[in-house]
Amino acid sequence: MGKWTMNLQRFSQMLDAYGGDPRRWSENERAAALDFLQHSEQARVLQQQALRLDQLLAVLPEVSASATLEQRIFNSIKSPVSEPLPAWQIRLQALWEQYFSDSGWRVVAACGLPLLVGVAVGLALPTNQNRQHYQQVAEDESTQRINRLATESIELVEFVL
Amino acid sequence: MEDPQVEALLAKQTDVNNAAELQADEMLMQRVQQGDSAAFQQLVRQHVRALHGFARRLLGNSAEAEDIVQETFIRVWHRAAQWQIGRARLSTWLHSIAYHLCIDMGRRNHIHTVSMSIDEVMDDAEVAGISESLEHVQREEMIQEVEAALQQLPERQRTAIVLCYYQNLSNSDAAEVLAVSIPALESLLARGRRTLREKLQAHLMDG
Repeated sequence: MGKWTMNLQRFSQMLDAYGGDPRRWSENERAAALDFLQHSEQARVLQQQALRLDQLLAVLPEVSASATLEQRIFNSIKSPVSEPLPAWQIRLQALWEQYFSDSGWRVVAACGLPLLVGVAVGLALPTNQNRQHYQQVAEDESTQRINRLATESIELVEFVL
Repeated sequence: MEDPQVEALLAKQTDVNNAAELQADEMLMQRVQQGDSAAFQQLVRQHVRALHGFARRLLGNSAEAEDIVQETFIRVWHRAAQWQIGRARLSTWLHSIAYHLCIDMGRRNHIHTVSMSIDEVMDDAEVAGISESLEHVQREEMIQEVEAALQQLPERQRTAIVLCYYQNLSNSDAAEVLAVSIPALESLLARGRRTLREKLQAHLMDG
């Protein structure tokens, strides 16, 4: 007798679910159920009744796929990886799938990523002090450009005259 | 039925075979995870028939079942890293992927097969059996009636029956595919069997 105890009620429930073939019975209870079956006439009657439905269900023939299905599957794998992936890449992929495959994490990642990009761009922008410096440089460049233009204009007028 | 002691031995042999299968699957999947296309082809050859049978019995349509099987293996190839050793049996994982794809297809098609009546399938049986012997026709009719009764079950009851009776998954594996507890699986199975017994009562009386 296994660690599981069996009585007619549980045996009957088991037959209702799994039918009369012991190979389908719960692995944990199978030994106890077989032992019970040996000692109970009523259990054997119930098993025979369950087996009748099992036999009826077994009339369905095995369904076979078309001969081309396997080839279709192989063809659908467009770019088979010829070189095996390194172990660290497989582990990383597995970790990603384990912790981030959940849709909730995907939402967090979708919201968090733009935030991180925003912070990075913000940090890269010039501060007030830098802004004044850039402004000064721009003004100096403009003044130089105007002066150069004026000089060239005067030279042109002198040449014409 | 055989002697209970013989049955116990057969059941033990089944457990030994399952352990060996588990180890072989692990080695194969490790190679698939490394992108070994030869290992993938071996995996397809080993499981394609079982998965097609599963999808065919759920959907009642062979062409759709083939699409499901193809998509299942494409997912396996691209998401091989998701399978973890010791977490789930390979066949359970494959059935789980195929099951969810069937559900999606069933939602799109409103699981047309469920509404198939016994009369509809009986017509096919009659046409096919005209030139055949009476015994053969009777058997064909019985097959069609069992098939129709199975298709008329609610989707989850049908899946539970198909997984345990036709795919030979253990109760824990079937429960995992359906994402239910074992008592819940037993309830689905018991309700499914009760309905089948009612629908097929005439054949049970004959037997």
